[in-house]
Amino acid sequence: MSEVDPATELSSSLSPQVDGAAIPYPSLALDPDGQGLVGKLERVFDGLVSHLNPILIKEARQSLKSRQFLITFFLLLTASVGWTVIGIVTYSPDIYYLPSGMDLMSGYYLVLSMAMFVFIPLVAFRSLAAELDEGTYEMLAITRLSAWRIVSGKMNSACLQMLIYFSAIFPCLAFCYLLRGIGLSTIMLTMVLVLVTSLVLTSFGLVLSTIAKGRTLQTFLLVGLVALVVFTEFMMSLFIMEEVFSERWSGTFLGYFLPILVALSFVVLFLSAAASRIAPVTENRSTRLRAIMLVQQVLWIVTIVYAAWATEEIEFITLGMMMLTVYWFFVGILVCGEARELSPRVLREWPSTYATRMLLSWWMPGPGTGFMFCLSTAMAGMITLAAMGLLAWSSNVTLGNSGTSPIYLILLNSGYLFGYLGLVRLISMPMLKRWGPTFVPPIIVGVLLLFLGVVGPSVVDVVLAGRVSGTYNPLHASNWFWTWEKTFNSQGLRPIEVSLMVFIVGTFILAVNLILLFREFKFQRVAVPDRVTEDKREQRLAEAGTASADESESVS
Amino acid sequence: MNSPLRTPWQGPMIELQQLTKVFGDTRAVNNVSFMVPRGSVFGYIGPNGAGKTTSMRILSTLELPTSGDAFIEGLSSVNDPDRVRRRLGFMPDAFGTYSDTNCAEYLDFFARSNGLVGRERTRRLRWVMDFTGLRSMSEKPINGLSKGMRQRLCLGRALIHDPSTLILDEPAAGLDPRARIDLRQIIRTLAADGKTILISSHILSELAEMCDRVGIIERGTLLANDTVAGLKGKSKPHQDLIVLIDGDPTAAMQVLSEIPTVANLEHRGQAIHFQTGVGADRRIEILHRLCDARVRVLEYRPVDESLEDLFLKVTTGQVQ
Ligand SMILES: Nc1ncnc2c1ncn2[C@@H]1O[C@H](COP(=O)(O)OP(=O)(O)O)[C@@H](O)[C@H]1O
Ligand SMILES: [Mg+2]
Repeated sequence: MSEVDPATELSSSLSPQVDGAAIPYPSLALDPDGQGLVGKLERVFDGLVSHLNPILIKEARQSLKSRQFLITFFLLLTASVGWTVIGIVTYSPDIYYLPSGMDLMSGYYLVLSMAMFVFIPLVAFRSLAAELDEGTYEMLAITRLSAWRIVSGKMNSACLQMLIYFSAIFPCLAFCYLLRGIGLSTIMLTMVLVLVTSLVLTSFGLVLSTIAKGRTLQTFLLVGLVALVVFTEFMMSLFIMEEVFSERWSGTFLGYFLPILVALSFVVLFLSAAASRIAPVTENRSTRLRAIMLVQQVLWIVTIVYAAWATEEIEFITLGMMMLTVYWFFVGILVCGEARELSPRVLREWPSTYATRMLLSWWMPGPGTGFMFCLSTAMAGMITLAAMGLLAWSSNVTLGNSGTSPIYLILLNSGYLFGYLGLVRLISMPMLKRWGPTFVPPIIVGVLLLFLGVVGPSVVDVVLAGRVSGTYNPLHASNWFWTWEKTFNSQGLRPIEVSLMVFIVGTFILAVNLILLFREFKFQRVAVPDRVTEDKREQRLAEAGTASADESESVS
Repeated sequence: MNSPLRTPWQGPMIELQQLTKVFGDTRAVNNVSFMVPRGSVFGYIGPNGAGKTTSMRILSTLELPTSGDAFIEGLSSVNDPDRVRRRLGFMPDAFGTYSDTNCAEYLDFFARSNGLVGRERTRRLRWVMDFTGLRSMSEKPINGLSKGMRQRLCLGRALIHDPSTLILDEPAAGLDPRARIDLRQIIRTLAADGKTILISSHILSELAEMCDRVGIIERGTLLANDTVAGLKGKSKPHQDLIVLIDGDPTAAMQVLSEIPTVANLEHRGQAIHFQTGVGADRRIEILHRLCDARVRVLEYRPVDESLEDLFLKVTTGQVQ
């Protein structure tokens, strides 16, 4: 590169010189140039670090200097050491022969979980929210970092903190184990649970921070997040102290692994959702999320089927289907808020032939395609679950108290999904037309409808009979809560015709939606501009060029 | 960076096409179109609230237009933000910084974020530190920097990936005279290096010397788009001229009074004032006539209108 710098002259006038000698560059601006093995290692390390997420590097540097991080780290250390000392003093001298690991472990768990459940998610939330708030995010956005890299960079630095806290508590755990009274598997299970919970909370914190535009909303969401983490801390502590530390748990590896996998899939979902929120509006921000949700559904079905098979409890099928309905209802509400207008950028990838349109349109952004995606995926999931249920039902393993037949469960659950989601869509559509794409109206309408569905029939009861009926009857079909509760009953839902009724009403609402939906298929594929094609080619050539340049450099 | 395989884009480096942005009731940018060719400096001038920042943010992919489009090297900021971002260095008017970070770390972070690795990264870091004169400050925390130094750091950040196009939003605002001169020198150097620059200010004189063209914007509408000289020429149908002569002015007065395009002729001592309706290219003919009549002309120049007067005239709608 024979680059003549026009800047050389200028720089000599701009940069002050000390006694005519140039000021040395900071070490960051120097190539590692050590000799021998050390130098070689240094270069390899430098190469490895280049592949790390820049945000991780930045935040690691920052946190080493940040007071807040040092304070929490030392608090954690002091608390765990303090607890150890207290433990030893109280149990002395019995500690030498009594198994007292469990009591110490509870203390360590509390200290660690405070840092992992409360501190880390809140820091992650603040970290991204502050970037978005203070305009530093915009400077990041115009670099080559994609939205996904930015969000995962934030997640990476949260993970680095988790790692540091874990390593601080590790000697204490080893000590615990040596004192006996607690099994290695209990310690490990506890740590896995703490880690997974912390990951889910942190990624959720990141999603929330991308919604937090403006100070008031941010404060509001922060309070919500604090409430959530405190609640989780409480529930997890109860669960771990009662269920895990009692060491009465048993089960297969898959039985633990699958639920953890489902939980981890939510981490991926939340991170992608956060990335979609901050990505440029003209980009396709939906397809990736939809793919992740499909994978989640597969994981969920596998988990449920495994649970039903392993425990021989057909109730798991009922539960699994109910959760699918809830999940897709919630997703469907959010999808309603997607933008109706698609950018030319998205339309460049719009399926162009009739066949691909039939198959692929549902994956493209937009509230209409999203609605169809939710419903069809949910249906596929329910049918799979029901088929598994029927298989068990017919093979007549001792699934004893039969509950409700999977066929009726499909009718009931899909009816609820079609009906409630269809109504949310119909009611919020005019509002969305006026205010543009936003999640707020569908969420409010959704919550109101769920509430009315439960309360409505009781009001009718009061008007007709003067009091709320204590026995379930078809009038309460819109009361999803009561109806679902009945499906878990050992006698099953009675009268079973309720499910048929729900299905018919739901299908009717769906039909109305479908008529309106056809208007969304006016989209046509847009040609990729020549300039973009040309640029793609240039980029490929340039990449090939640098690759070969690198090769020649390393050869020489 | 420039591999021989690449033929550079021949069209305009920056282009706004009927760009409009509406915030609620305000039309922040109203149907603005202009182009900036490769290697030139375009001054974007207008009072506060004129819509400069908004249009620059749209160009920089940070905001979406209500209608119209903006292009960098022929690529749309709206539909291909990722491609635009690789070519663009943007320096906003106000920028947040990270706490617990020093200049070198800040620049290193943005170098990595722009995909620079290994030797390329360290080479660019050294270049930027030298170019902006930040080498001696590199280990200082950002929060302790002076305004001028922060501006340079921000410019360094915008330059780190060697973009072809620079968008600088009021870079001179709040700088002391010395820092302003440095900045002007920096921008001249960058332009000489072939970078295309869009620079905004609310003070015309700040930019007049370094811009190839200026656009004047007020309340979202582009009122003028011309060279500084052209703006001055256009601002008045009649140009005031001064001829300073050696000796008795009567002969010169005689010659001038015979020229039909000369009006309002008068003299004070040896300085003759007059107005002419002809354009700059034909004013030389007047001088020829004087020389032919053996008048000894010491000086022949237009009466310079102050840039601020000009700006006031353009923005109050006297010139369109
Ligand atoms: N995010 C925004 N929301 C509402 N109004 C805005 C926003 N940004 C800018 N404006 C308005 O748009 C107009 C142009 O602003 P701006 O582009 O910042 O002007 P300039 O940079 O020329 O001073 C102003 O009236 C300003 O109040
Ligand atoms: Mg501005």
